[in-house]
Amino acid sequence: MKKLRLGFLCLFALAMLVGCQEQKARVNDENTFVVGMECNYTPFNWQTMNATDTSVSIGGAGYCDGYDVMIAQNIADKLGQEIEIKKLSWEGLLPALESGEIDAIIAGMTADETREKGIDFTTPYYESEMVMITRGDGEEASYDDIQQFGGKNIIGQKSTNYDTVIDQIENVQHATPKATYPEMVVALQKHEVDGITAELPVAQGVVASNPDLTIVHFAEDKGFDIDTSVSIGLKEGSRGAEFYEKVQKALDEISDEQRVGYMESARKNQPETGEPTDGIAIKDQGFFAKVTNIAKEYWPLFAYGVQITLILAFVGTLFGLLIGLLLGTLRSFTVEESDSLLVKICKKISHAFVGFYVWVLRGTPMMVQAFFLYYLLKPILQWTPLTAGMIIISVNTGAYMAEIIRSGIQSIDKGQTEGARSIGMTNLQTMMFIILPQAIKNQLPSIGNQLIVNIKDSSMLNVIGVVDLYFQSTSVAGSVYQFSETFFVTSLVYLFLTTIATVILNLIEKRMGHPKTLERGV
Amino acid sequence: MDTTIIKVEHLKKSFGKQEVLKDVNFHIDKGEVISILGSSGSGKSTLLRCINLLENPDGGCIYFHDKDVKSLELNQYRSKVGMVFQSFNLFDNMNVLENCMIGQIKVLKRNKQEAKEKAMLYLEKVGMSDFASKPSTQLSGGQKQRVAIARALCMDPEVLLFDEPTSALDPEMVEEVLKVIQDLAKEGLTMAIVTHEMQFAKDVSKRIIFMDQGVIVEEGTPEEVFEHTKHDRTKAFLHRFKQ
Repeated sequence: MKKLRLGFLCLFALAMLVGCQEQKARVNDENTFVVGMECNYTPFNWQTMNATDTSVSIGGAGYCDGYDVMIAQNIADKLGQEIEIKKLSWEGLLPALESGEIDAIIAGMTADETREKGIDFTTPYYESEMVMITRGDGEEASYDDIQQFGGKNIIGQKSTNYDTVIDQIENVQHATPKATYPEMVVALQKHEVDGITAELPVAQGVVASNPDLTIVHFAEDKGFDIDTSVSIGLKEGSRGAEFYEKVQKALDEISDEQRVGYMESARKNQPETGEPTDGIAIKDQGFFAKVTNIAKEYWPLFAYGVQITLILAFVGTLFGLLIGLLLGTLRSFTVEESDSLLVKICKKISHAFVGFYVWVLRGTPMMVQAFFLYYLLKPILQWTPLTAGMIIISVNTGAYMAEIIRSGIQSIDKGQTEGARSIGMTNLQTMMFIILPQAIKNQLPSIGNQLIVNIKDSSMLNVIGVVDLYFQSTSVAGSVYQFSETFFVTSLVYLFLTTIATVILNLIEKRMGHPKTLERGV
Repeated sequence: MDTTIIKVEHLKKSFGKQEVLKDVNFHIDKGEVISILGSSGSGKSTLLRCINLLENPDGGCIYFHDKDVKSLELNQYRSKVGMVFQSFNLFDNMNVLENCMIGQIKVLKRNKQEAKEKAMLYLEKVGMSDFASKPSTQLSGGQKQRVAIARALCMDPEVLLFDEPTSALDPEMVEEVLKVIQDLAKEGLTMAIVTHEMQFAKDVSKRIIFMDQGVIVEEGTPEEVFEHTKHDRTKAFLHRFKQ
């Protein structure tokens, strides 16, 4: 018991420490220009382990580099502010801007009517060409009119214009959009789709990493009718305000030559286009060679993600257990005839509360809860994504734990309570010293199962920008454009973590004695 | 004159529509051993459980030293009225010694040293001191019941209630438990015992109470009840046992 307490304290201290570090790194004061981007959209922005002249550190998660970073740095310099890059998922960009977590979105985002409703865009900072990525050996490689793709299976990135423009092709098979380019590239290579809509620089990045693919340019007036310029997004309603004007002015001062130079530099620096160190071209490497390369090159990114994933899983399980103990116990106090009216009312209210808590938190996806709570409470609590993530996963786990503890309490023979009450122990003492220790012991497999679940489900918290193992993996995949290989590494890491956790849990179970009922498995 | 520890007046208890205790009046005096006999369903166990307030009586009064128990602090009262169950109800998460210490520490607020000494004293008395550090789940039924008795004694109760203490035991273990209760009786401990062990009841009791269908039918010394039985229902019951 003492050891348990000590371990708990250590974990708590660790959580606080990490929380504080994050806090320090993410103070959004007047001297910093905080920019949100995916760090997963080569050549506009990507994540890397290697610092360059143009890269910006994103804490333990390595560096962010790319065209967007250079533009952001340039503007920050002109504003006289320090640059800070915040890595966010595409869907997380707008809420972060709204809540004031970031000052600007510079993420290769195109200004369109729908987005204009929630964001005030500057003038474009890059204009490119809309192309199609196809397999190099297919008949599509020679097309020059979008209508030639009629009847073909075409895909575009989710929540972007590249998805909506597909319908401009008559009779097209419009595939369900995917979130990232690496995913779509795999779909194309596996003949699931016949073409991916893309902006030229992105397409060039893809083809550089995947030599089996090619770019289809369209002839004049035969291409997509779309605005391919990208703009800086600023907070809705800020147009005309001092900050907006300053950013716009800074952007205006970046000359065309400078912009072309930035893009060239980004194209040159982007990962995996250059020759690998061992001199073997990527296209010649087999699957496992690529996997090994990714693991070797990007292990610090994975390691950082593992650290965050473990913190989330352990903190979530422990605090979730505490919440579950409290709620499960409250739920288990039955209303008795002998109770005073006040006690009866208190018990009924607590039953209703626990019922509601479990109903809502177990009945909605954690991803939705995270999104909702994080941005709702952000203005009041000023919490960092990691702090928020730890709280949200704890609160969510608490709902499951409450049910586990409640059924654990129910499984204890009524005689245990009677024995304790007969020697004069109070309800609370009976619960704390007799019932709960047995309930916890009996439910250890289920409690341990929650830890395993949390190791995996913490990945959902990437929607609020928690840089966990999964989020790091998408970054790596986005940087190297090798989806299967990267996530093969990720799977191995997750499997390793859950295996270790299982071994530890088995040891604990053995030490605490076997649960009473053998059928209660994981 | 003996002082009365427990007095029960017009006790009523129903479970749903079934009236288990109809109108029970009885008392336990200091130093006496009472055995409560009766066929199953006659309300004997419910009577004991009502005295300990594990069940809430529907009507009537229970007095502890002439004070209505409703006016007493429930847990303080319970610590003074010990209970030994048919199913032992030892705490499965503790060893033998801990079972005997937890109540002393948490309810009587004794310090650990004091509680341990007391626990060992009573474990010695029931012949279980060698098992002090054994998990309670690893004991035999008879051993469990002896520990349960020690646990109850550790609270220094003024009266000890036994609810069929040997009914869940294998036959060869009944003796060891009855022996312990007999020793306690010799020392003058106040006890009320619900039991089906007729010979034991006869030997150990100062008074016998026979219950049937929720009421006390007959009450008297063992000799009066066993040898000069007045009521037909008692006769029928005793007759069944003699066979």
